[in-house]
This record gives sequence, C-alpha cells and structure tokens, in this order.
Amino acid sequence: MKWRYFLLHLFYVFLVVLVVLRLGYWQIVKNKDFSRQALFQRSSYLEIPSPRGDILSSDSFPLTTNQEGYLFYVDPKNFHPTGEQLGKIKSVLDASDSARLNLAFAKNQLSWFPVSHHLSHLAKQNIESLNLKGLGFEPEPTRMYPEASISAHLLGFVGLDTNSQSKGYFGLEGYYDRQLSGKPGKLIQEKDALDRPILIGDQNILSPQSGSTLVTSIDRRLQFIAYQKLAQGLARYGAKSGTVTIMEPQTGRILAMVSLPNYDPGSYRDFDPYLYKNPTISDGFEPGSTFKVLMMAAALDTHAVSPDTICDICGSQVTVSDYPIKTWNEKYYPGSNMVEVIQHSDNVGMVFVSRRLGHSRELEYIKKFGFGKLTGIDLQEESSPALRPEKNWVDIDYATASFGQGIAVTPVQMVRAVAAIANRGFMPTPRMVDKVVTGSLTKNISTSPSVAVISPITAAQMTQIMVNAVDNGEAKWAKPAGVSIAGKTGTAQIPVLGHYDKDKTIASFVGFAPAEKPKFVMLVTLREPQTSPWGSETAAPLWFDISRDIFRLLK
Amino acid sequence: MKSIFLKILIFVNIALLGGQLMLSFTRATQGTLVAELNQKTQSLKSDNAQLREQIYSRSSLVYIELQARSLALKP
Repeated sequence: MKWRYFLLHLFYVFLVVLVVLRLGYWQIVKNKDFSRQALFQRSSYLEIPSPRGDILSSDSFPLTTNQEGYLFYVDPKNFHPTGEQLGKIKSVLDASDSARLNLAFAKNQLSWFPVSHHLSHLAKQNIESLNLKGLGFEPEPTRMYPEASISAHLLGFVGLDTNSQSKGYFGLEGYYDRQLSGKPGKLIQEKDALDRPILIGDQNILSPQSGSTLVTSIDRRLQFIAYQKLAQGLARYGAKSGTVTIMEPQTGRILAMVSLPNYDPGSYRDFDPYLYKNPTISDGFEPGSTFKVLMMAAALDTHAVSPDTICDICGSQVTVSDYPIKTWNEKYYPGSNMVEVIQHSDNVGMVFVSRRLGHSRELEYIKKFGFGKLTGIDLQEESSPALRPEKNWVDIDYATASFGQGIAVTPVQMVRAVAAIANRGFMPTPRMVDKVVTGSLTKNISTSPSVAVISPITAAQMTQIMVNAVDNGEAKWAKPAGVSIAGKTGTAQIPVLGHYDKDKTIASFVGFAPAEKPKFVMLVTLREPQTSPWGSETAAPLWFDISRDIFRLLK
Repeated sequence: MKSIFLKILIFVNIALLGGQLMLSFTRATQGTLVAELNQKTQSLKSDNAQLREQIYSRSSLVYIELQARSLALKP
C-alpha cells in the first residue's frame, strides 16, 4: 500500500517539475520572443517623413527646395456644397483639378476621392474658410522650383516609386537620390485595446534625418542667360531643339547646361516622357566640322603634320573608296597649310590630315578624347554612342570621321574634349556638385584628376589655329570685338534611314574664351535650323551672343 | 487619544486629496498650454515656410526679369 502512495506522490512531483520546466522555458528561453510579440501587439509605428535636401546653385540659391503642399480630397457622400461654394473652390484649383472635382459627384459610392495634389497653403486656407463638411487635406511633400524650369534637365524630378515613396528620377535628383532622401524617422507609441495612446506608456521617437543639400557648380546667372538666349535662338533660326553647355576647362565644373524644349519638373506628368532625358548627356549627334579641331590636334600631337604643312590634295575633291569627298561650299584652296584647312573648314584638307595621321592613331586619339565611353558626369541617365569595333572601320570611315561625319558624340563629350585644348592638353571630368552638406557637416567633392590627351605645345598651337578660324573664318562677322576667342563652327547632316538628309542639319559652334587664359568652354547646338543650315550663320552668332553677356559678368 | 489620531488621519486624507486635485489641475492646464504652444510653433513654422517661399520666388532671376519687363526696362 505504501509503495502505491509513493508512486502517486512521485507522479505528482513529476507533473509539478514538468509545469515548472515549461514555465521556465517560456519565461527564460522564449522570454525575448514573447516580449517582442507583446510589444508589437500594444505598440503602433508611425513613419515620420524626412525632408528632402535642397539643390543649390553655386551662390547657394535654391534651384529646387521643399514647399508646404497638401493633397486635397473629398468624401463624396458628405460633400454637398452650394453652387457659389463650389465656384469658390474651383477658383483656387487649376482646370484639370476642377474637372476632377466635378467627377467627385459621380463617385458618390466612394468615401475618399483625391481632387488635387500639391495644393498651396494659401489655397488650402481659402477652401477651409468655407467651413464645408466632407473635405480634407493631407500634408504632401512638394518640390518648388524658384527659377521655374530653366534647369529642368539637370535637376530631374521627384516622383513616386512602386511603394508610393518619393524617389528622384533623372538628373541630380536621380543620381543623388540616396543622399537627398535622408532617413525617415519613427514614432513608436503604446496603445490600448481600442487603439488609444497610453499616456504613461512608452513613447520612442526616432527623429528623421533630413536629406543632404547639394551645392552645385551651376552659376544661375549663366544658366539664366543660356536659357534665355537659347529660347530666342530657337525662335530666330526656327530650330527644332538646341543645347547650350558651359564648362570651366580647368576643373570640369559645369557652369550652365540648358536644353530646349524642356518640361516643368513640378508638373512632369503633363509632359511627354521623351522630354525627361537630358539631350546634353544622352543624345548622340554627328559633330561635323567641330570635330576637325580634335583630329587636327591629334595630327599635330603625333607630329604627323605641323601648322605649316602644305596640303597637296586640297586643289580639288578627292575620292575615297569610290566616294567623292568635297568641301562644304565646293570651293577649293590648293596649297593650304593646316591653319587654313581649319579656317576654311576644308573637308579635303582633313582627309589629307587623316591620311598623315594613319588609321590606328586616328582611332587611338578618338578614344583618348573620351569618345565611345561615359564622361562620368554626376547626372543620371548619361549614355554614350558606341564606337564601332576597329575591325569594322574601313577607309571611308576614317576619312569622314576626320571631319566629324559617321561618328556620333554627346554634347558633354564634345565640350570635355575641347576643354583639353583649353586646359593645356589636360582633359577634365565634367561634374555638377561641389559640396554635399549634411547637417553641420560639409563634404567637398574633389575634382577627378584631368587626363593628359595632348601636349601643352599642341594645345597652344591648336588654340592659335582656332583663334584664326574665328577671326578669319566664316563666322568672323558675328564675333564680339576686343576679346580673343578660339572656336570652330560645325554643320553636320542628319542621317535618316542610312542616308544623309541634305535639308536637315545640326548646326553647332564650340569654343573657349579668353583664348590666352580660358574661363569657359561652350558648345551650342541647334537641330534643324530653318533660316540657314550652316553653323556659321546660326549656332556661331548665338554662341557669340551668349559670350557677350558672359564677358560682362566675368569682368 | 483615539479621536485625535482619527482627526489627524482625516486631515491628512483631505490634504492629500486636495494636493492630488491641485496636481491634476496643474498638469491638465499645462497639457493645454503645451498643446497651444505646439499649435503656435506649427503656425509659425508654416508662416516661416510661406515667407521663405516668397523670398525665393521674388529673388529668382525669372521673376526679376518679368518685373523689369513690366517696368519697360531694357537689357
């Protein structure tokens, strides 16, 4: 009998031990998991958005900054304004949002209908003053562009990603999106079963980190001048589109970059997406005669020619691989030297230079000047027209490349290559941002080392040849007096379906000034000008017009 | 002796109750004050942002050029 009692006792002790062990498992081993689950059940998380960083010009004026904006929505079931009230609301909305407001009445099965995005504070106050039921506002981050759309292509815009979070696209907004976005904060608050905050409960605030501010190299005065003059130029010459790029040759800092037509980054959805891309960094074009200065620089650098070398084939057209090569105006200058070949923009003279240079060296210098690869500019969506593999180059390709046909480049590549001539043979890396400011920390962005492409002597010779081209060439009539400018015009036919269209050209002018100590390199391109197809009569006068204002500012 | 102790106890209780009421009242009014100050801060921040936007808009070259044109000034 006693042993039965003992067994029962042992059984109960065993049960108690089991319960204690289980409790110990929950309390000790699984403690962290259960604590976390409990905290998760009684806590609520709220994300505090971080303000996006500003993008400033070199004088610290905002090219884009944040603005108080609101999403205006209505509850169609409870929204019953009088005709007069409706009129007052519509008076602060634009046409498309007014139409959406009308649409709200047809959506009376909904309890939330968004009417207008990015509504201003003043408009919000006007609507609120009507004291109507069934409408509301939610704060919404909005970008403001004090200088309107003059810098649209280099700034890019802020849209929403697939998770409906703000995200920068194109230009600086896209390239520096991570730095500009900052880190959103978090509010963790304990709540009761009815989702009410427990006042004596835990409340943790993780403050949001504001996005960094970018200080760019853009001189907003030059940007404004370039924009204004380009707009006037497009109207004057009837061109379809155009670009102006101004760079500091010693550092590669971009001082101004404008492309037209453009779009309004504040309402980018209203524009055709093809306008979002920045043509200066992504559109390839055949540079035409502006490319001659680079090929001539290559020939001088390799001592294939000297400025005094006489072109012995310049008296008439030449034939390369059964293709006749003529001068642009079918005038021929027998016995021209290399200075005159550039002055007359002589295609036959450039074939002579190409032959002296040799195929491998010509291609080598095209690559050395950075064509066929990205420049590394800090803007999103940069692309580079590819260079054909060497094995696919034939005689006629080398001949036409010497005068800038049959080869495609982007405007920024062209500006950078000519900057090498302006900068004693050293080619800089173009860049937009000088400083990144995060709170009280300022990080200076150092310039990438310039690459030696040609010798300083070649650069000096080439500068003199380009000064002569401006002083005595086709565009001498438009040149501003009292300043030495090194430059070259360009007119390239546009390839359409494998053939060149005679009536469609890209007119351009590239140059730098003052020639003896350059402060800027500038490229102007005009696509399909109607008043004249020639760069000397369209792009060059526009270049000189812009440079007059630059000289006034840089004095 | 017993009645004196009882009186003291009642007095202490009443005093504590009074103290609690005062404290609650003070805390409650302070909360309102904090809420009012928060509202004022928000309003000032909003005004500040509005002013900042106006300064930027009116300092922009685009605006200055428009004003110059409206005054018939020529470059």
